[in-house]
Amino acid sequence: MKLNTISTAALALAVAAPAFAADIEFWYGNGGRVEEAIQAHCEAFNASQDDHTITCVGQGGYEAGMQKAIAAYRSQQHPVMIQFFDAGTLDLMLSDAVVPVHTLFDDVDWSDYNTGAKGYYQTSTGELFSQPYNGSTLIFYANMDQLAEAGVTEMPETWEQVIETAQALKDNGHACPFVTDAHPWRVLEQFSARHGAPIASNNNGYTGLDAEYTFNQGIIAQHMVNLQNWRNEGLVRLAEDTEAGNYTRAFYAGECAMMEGSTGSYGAAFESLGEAVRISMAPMYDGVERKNTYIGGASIWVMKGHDDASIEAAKAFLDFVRQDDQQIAFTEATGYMPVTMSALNTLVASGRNEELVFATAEMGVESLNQPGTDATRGIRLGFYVQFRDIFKEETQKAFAGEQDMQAALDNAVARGNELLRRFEQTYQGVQLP
Amino acid sequence: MADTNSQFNSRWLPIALALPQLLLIFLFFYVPIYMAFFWSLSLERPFGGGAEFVGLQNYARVLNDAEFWKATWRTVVFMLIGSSLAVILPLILAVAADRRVRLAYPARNVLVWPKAVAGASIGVVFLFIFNPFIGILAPLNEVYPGLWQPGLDGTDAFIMLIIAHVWGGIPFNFVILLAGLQAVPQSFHHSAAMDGASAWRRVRDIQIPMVLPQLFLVFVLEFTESVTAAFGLIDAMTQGGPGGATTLLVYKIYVDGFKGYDLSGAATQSVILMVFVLSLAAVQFFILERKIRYER
Amino acid sequence: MIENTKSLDRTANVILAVGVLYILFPLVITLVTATQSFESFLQNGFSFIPGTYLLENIQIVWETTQLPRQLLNSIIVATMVALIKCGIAFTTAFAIVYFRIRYGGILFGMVLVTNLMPLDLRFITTYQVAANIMMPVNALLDFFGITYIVQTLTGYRMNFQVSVLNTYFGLAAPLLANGTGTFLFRQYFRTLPADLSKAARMDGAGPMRFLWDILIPLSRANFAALFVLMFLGGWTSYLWPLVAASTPEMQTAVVGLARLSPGDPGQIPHYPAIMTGALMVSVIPLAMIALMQRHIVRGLTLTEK
Repeated sequence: MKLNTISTAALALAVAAPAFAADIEFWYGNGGRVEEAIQAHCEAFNASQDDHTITCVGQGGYEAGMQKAIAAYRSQQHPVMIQFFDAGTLDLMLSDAVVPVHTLFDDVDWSDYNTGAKGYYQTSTGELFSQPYNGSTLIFYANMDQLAEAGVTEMPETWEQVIETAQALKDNGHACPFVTDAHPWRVLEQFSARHGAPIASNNNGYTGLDAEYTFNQGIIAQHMVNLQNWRNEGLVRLAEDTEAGNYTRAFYAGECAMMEGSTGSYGAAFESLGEAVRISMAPMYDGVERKNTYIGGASIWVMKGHDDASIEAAKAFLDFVRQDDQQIAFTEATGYMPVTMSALNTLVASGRNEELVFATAEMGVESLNQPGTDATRGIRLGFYVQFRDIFKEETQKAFAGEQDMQAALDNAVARGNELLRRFEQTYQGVQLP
Repeated sequence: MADTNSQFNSRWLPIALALPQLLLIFLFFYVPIYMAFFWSLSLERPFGGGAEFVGLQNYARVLNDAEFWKATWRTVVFMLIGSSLAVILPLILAVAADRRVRLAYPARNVLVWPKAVAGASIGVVFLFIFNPFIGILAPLNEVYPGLWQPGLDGTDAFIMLIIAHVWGGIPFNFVILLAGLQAVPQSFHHSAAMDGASAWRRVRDIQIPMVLPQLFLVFVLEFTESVTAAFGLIDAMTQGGPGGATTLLVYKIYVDGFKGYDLSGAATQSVILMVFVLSLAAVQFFILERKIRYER
Repeated sequence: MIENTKSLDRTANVILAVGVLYILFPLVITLVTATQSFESFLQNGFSFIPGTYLLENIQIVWETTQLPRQLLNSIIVATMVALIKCGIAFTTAFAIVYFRIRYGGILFGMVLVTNLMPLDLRFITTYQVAANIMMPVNALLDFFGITYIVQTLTGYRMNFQVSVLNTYFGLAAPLLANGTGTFLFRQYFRTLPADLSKAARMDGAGPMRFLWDILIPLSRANFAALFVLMFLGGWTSYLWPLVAASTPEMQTAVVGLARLSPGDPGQIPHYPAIMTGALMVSVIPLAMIALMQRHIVRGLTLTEK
């Protein structure tokens, strides 16, 4: 607790203190193209000013990064900033190891962040706890060449149409009309958000740690049962049913004709399939009003226990990556979306949004910016990373025929609730921000 | 060596000589074990701070958790099937290699090779061999679609795991059992042969009973080993899936601790597993009355 | 001895042939697949006919993955484990056997117990220790009130921090925290005649002289056996390097292989390259085992006795 007072005091100073030069570290999880883009941000930042130097260190994955950050924080060797993914939001919020970003700045227009991004990372009073960085969301992909072979020329928009199309493809001898890995981010979270049906009480946990999972009923449960039936009918394939063994690979390789996937997959899909790829917002069930989807990807968190100069440097970096041109460069390099409206508007004003590399930017933001409700801001549930594994495990058993889907969902709810209760006890007496 | 004349006198030298090893053991053996016990009695927050002492509550939670028992059950099943095969196959091979037959010499060399290949590496290879679309069983799937699906069917995945585990378990058990067989004095064979016992009979009546101590030893070592040895295979082949069918206890501890940030739960399960392994060792100690180490 | 053992010998040959096939089959598959081109693999799938693309596949793995760096890490870590273990196990056994020390028995017992609980059972908290190996020091200073005294006197709060995660030392050290070699050497020393050291003492040779001139030369074969075993153990360990190295650059090859995904993400996995990777990861220890067969068998049986 002592450390706490010290760092709070340091913080109070930091806000008022003049800028000092500092060398700081930033830990991130991504690899591949995204890693290169993050490193480009860091180099550009170092080149843009003389006060501070940032060193960006890859951790080989979001989960590994989080684990290492935990170990580092426990021995007080943690970096000033870490990037962490959506599912760990509440774990970090309650960790008492981070400084909410909104308290660091008084000159940033946080409302400029798009609805989906804001909702996910903000407190119950609407203030951002971390700064959205690499944002993606769920969209629908179709291989129009294959659809045309089955006589379908229109992009399906509802699940009913998706299944009609899948039936046509199957009748035409297609072995894999629609592919999914049944990952909860796709079939549970994004589905529940855009259909306006929360997965847990207390608005997905936003109003209290005593939330309970509720997705074993209503439209979500119905969708999961449908997925299973469609798979039995040969209309939907799981990643494990495909030769590629992976749903995106199966789609890229032309093994499967349709999928739901992250906006970040567009680049690779276009590279493999060319003009045959078409995208749209993820399908809805007939008669349900479309709400926003959630932001995927990750945000940047500022950690406690650093001196004023380091905090100043972190702020400078956060300001830097918030700039429109930096966001646009990042989008261009990675397929992630701009997270602020001004960046998107700048992109649209420049006319470059017509370019292929920006194909998903507008649609993704549109999907994030659909009207939302209190229950579609995001997921605010403890030990959620572990819950995702539980959900996968139970539904996998249902797909393999070891239990029926309703039983799988009931089990996942029960086991998830146990996690929530333990989380509640672990953070007894801690106020949900 | 109890003879005092043969020992040197020095106060500090022996301490200095033993210190590096003792320090490493203290730091990376005794401290972690102490910490595991400590954490199992508290609710540890991932980022530290505010660990709450909860007594035996973690144990109550773990012991009431159906998933813990399922993982334990899978561990036991894996132990019984995997270990039995990993001992019986090497035994048969050792009896064969003990004879002066043409293949005996090359076999003694080749059968030790898996010792060089990490579980995870051979896991990657077996995963490819058993791939339902391009692997060796792919033709089977073309005739009976859906017959072999290790990615979806828990039993198939478990079978795959056991085949890979037995592969890696052969060298140690083979070497030990063969050494035991070779220590059987030739005179035993001769006198039994004089008595008119056939060669087949002698395998059953002389060789097997004579290697019983080694057999027992490898069984217990294999049992304790199999509790943790499968980790590399699981991580490389199935990640505990499908549907948790290959989540053995050691993998569950890893997932709970490193992906779920449930440090107390992982520590509690570690302690339970340690007690389990210790009791296996105790059984061995009391029955065999010999000092043990299991180094593989 | 004239006796008809033909049926038994024939059966023995068949059994051994099956056993050898079981062992060789995955290795042969690895080798054959590693020689095929991705294109021919996509067309023909699984095949037992070797191709000519091994060098190309090695090139793909070499240039597009982290495996070369990780192989180097494996060599460093395995060699460190083997060398350090040979050194400290030898000196510890020497101290236990050739010196009159109080509590020698207890000491030996404490070393021995370590073999009952493999690292994979205690990795969760070992990770925390590796994150700050000064933790016990801090705890002791706290416990004896030294931290408090210093803080009241100087206002400085003592809290030492040294993390060995993501370092070669951190990857190797916990693998050394067991009594393996100590026991081996102790048993061996006890088989040596007591007159050996008695004579050395009478000649006026000190303990270190005895160690250098007599004990080390005598123990050569044991060093070789222990070195090979520890090297293989360090090379093939998985769970600890998986958690202790957080960046791909510090990962060992065995862990890297399990995450290897060479080639174009838009296509089905490049199995020939993956099998080439498996080959590269296993070739050094396999060569070692094929050449040093004798030492391995000796090591395995010795640690068992």
